[in-house]
Amino acid sequence: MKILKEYFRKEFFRYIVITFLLIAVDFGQVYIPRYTRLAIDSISQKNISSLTKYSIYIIIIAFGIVFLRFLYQALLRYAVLRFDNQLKNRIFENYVFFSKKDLERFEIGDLMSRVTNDTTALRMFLIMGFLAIVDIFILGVTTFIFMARMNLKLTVAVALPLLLLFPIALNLGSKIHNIYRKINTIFADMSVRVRELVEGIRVIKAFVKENYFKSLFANVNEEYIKENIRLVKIDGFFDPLVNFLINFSIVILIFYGGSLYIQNRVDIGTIAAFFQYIETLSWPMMAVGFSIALFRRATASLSRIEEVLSIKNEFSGLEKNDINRIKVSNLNYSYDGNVLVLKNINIEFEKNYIYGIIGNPGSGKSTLLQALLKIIDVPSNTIFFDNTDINVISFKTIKNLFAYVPQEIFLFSDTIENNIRVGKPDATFDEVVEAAKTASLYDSIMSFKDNFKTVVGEQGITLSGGEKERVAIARAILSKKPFLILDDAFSSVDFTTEFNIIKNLDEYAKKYGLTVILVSSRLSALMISKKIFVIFDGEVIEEGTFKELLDKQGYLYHIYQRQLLEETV
Amino acid sequence: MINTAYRRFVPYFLKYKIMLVITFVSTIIASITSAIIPFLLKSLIDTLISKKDFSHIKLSFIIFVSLVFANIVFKLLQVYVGNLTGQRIMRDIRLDMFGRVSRFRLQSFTKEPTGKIITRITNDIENMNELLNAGIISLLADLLFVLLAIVFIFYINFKLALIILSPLPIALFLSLYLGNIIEKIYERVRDSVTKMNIHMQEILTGLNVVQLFNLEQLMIDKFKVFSKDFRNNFYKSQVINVTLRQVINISSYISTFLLIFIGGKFTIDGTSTIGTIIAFSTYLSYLYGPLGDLSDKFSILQNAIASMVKIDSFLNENPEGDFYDEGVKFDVKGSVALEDVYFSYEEGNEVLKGINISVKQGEKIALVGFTGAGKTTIANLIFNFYEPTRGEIEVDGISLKNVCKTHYRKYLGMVLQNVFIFKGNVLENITLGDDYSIEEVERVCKVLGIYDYIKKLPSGFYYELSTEGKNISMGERQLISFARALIHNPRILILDEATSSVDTRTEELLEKGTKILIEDRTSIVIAHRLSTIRNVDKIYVINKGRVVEFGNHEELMEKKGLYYEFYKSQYR
Repeated sequence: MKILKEYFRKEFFRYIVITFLLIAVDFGQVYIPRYTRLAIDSISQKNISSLTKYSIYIIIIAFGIVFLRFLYQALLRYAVLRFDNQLKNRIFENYVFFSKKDLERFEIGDLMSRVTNDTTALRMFLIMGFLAIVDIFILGVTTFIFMARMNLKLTVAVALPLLLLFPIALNLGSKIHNIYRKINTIFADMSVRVRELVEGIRVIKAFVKENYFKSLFANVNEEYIKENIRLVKIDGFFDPLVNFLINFSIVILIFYGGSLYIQNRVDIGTIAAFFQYIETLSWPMMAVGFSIALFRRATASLSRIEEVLSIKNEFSGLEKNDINRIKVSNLNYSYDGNVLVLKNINIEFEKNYIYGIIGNPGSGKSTLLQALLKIIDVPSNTIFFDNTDINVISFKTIKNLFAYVPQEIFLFSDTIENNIRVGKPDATFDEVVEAAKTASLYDSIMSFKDNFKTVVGEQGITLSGGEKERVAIARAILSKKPFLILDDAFSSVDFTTEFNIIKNLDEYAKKYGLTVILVSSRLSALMISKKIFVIFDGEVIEEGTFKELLDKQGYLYHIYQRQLLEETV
Repeated sequence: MINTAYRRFVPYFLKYKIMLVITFVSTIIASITSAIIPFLLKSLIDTLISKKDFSHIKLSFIIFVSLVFANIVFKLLQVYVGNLTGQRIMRDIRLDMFGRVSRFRLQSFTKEPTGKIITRITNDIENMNELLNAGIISLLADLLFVLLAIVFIFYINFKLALIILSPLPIALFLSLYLGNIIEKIYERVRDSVTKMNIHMQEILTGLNVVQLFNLEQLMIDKFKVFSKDFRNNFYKSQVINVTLRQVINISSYISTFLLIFIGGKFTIDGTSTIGTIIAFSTYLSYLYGPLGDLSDKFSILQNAIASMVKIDSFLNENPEGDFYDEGVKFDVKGSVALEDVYFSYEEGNEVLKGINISVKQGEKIALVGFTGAGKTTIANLIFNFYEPTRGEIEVDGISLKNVCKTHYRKYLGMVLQNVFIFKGNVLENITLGDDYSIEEVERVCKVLGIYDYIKKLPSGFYYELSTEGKNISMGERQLISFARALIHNPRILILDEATSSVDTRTEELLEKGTKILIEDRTSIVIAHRLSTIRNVDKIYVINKGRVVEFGNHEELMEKKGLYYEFYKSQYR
């Protein structure tokens, strides 16, 4: 609600003006039937001059209404759209500083819909909802007052069926929002099933499971129909029902109004005016349900928006230009507070060396790297940069110190050059080429038609897994940051290429005095490491140089032996 | 283009003939009853004024009340049956399309961006749904209603009708004209929404890259450009929309003014009645009411038609490839032969140049080579995802050209580097909906040595995986896909970089287990890690689309060729 308070405070004066305009318009709207009555009475009295007078009143009021309506609509919409724009920017700005943990709490599509759909719900409420609420009270109430002043008994009689509207409208207002939300969720599930079809097509075809996946999709479709029909029964029936109540009101007007007319207790002009009043009332009546629904949607959307805005990441903290040593001591880590992914890790990385990490799947290798990068939060006193706790150090320091190649490679749909340049936006072209060469990517790039200007991603060519990995490696290399972290960065690269990259990397690291930490499931990548850590089910079970670990005859030895065996065959 | 689209989709509508007839008849009745009500009103009021007596209008009154009830009943029927029909038709189309897409040739999936396929099946069909209810039915109701109202007005008082309706054509023209402009601006609005979405999707997917490389401000600025575009265009469209509605409003007020002023004079002259004025004033609100929404409705209809054409051309551009009951069906035993096979994904760029490979039933072979040498392509061809441009592939001596693809594939199994995990639990991901008992699945997993891994997950085999398997590690995903391939008991198993994300020890377990499970089966292994293929019967070294050497490990080592080089680079 803070957002709205801020908005209304800022636009207070504008809303005062708009409300005045609205009231003026609403009064105009109730005066037209009043003059209609007088005009009709003039007709029955055959008085042309007063007919002319009241007709001219009507058209003057009409022009006033139209002009003022245009004015307040433009004023209102301008303010709301400005607010909408600022809110969108604010949410997106907040997203950009999300931590990995924040990001994992939500689906990406969900975060996107908060920027687009939820702001739309808010915007609609601030425009349509506001107008509707003002109209319900001003137009609705004044209309009834004017009717009652003309004829109280007739007013009560025609109002009776209209009162039935309230339970219908309240029912609509309370249910519609939930149904919409459900429909949206099911629609999203539908997209998920189609995405799975596309992304898993080779597997689906290979196992001839087209029909199974179609049946999964069919289930979602049935749910979708069910909810949509529920919506029709509530939302689609609303307008016809309002229409029915109005018609019913007209029946009473004729029946009861007619009998009053016969008794000469009401004039024909009043009956004519009541026709117009009942018609005028149809809008505020429909607006009751409509504005409740808008309000509920808007409050839900508002809380969704506030939820993501309330996530504030502190990026302040100690800044360091360089560090000599990273020490991990007694680190335990769990994602869910239950299963320990990392158990009592004690390791050290010193500057200017290459380190290797190997381990079984799910052993926590990636988690360890992410802890070093502050992508996930660790308990205090577990990771130290020199002697400073990682939790005290600013994220900016991490950015300045580390270059990172994650397991799942991310490339922008942009040119290869720009994707590499991400590492250092002001790099010269020669530097980009050097990085590409170090990552053994240069030849592949030159084999593309547009070389470095080749666009990748959905609008451009699709790179193979190995090429993507090498673009990410080149990007990290280009940044020349003192620590380079590679998380299984060679899994899709063939051995010869891998060997070349490792060789280049070794030279490169020595040349620039870099520290490299590489996780690999392949032994050959680890041979150049000063020290290797073997992690098994979250525990460091072995550490040492390649030779030391072989002498130990443990896990690493076991793997090595298999290869040795081959060589002696 | 529209014609072929109609031809494609009409049968879906015709399937619900009766429901459609009910909808249309209800629509017509609802419109007629609505249009008659003011007409009756006129005679009621006029009789009331002239006779000052109720007994004369009793009959008309009863008719009036029944019309009001008939109107609501048929209106609700129209809305309910119309929507139900629309939803069912769209469901049929969606399911059919899903099936068709699953039968597309593999080329289509590399050619068409994922987002496009999703949009066609979900959003475009959703737009098409408007075709029936918001489009045809609603326009039909409005049109019928407006026509009837005009007929009644002219019937009641021709001269007065002519006068009070004079602003209508101008309003109609202006609303169509402005509606057109709004539609054009709206295209730009949609465009900026798309751009915002693409940008957000990209940034959120790669957020850690954005952050670690300090690109935050750059990305925020880029977003602001799109959001500002949205704001400006949207405001423009809103202002024009408000203008349009006020144009209609003012015309309606002018008509009302003319009605009271001129109609009043006529009444005083005796050529009209007060009942006429009241009835006309109701008719006027009927006429101008739909006008405000007219351009909206047309644009919805246009949008629906555009989506329909898009779906149609999408289906036309992508022919179905895999049929269920065409071709030879036979029990695959497992010998595979590629004879002088050439293949290219796009013309002029041959990926395979005369490949010869022969695998006997139960034999294990390996394909080795650089990234991009054509190994995966060979696997794709054996799966019959593509047909060779030249040469022949035979399984058990039968050419793959003539086999029923889907029947044939049931005998094959594959494990890929990029594992496919769908929303569902571990068990479903392994069985793919086939009814293997949990014991069977557990047995296979135990033999493969991955039982413990799965048991370690929070609810074991019933652990719900998110789409793409984001809640488990890459290595764990590969383990699941192994179990999946083996439980289906394939005659021919293809492992394409299947163990790239698991450590050597796990790999060894997998290897042992696989050996037991596929004892006498044919298997084809593609691997970078040469340790995984030491025991195969034959190794084919592929380079630039050709088999450059083959033989077992020892033979190839002696040859001191490309394989030897590979080996050396891996075990320095």
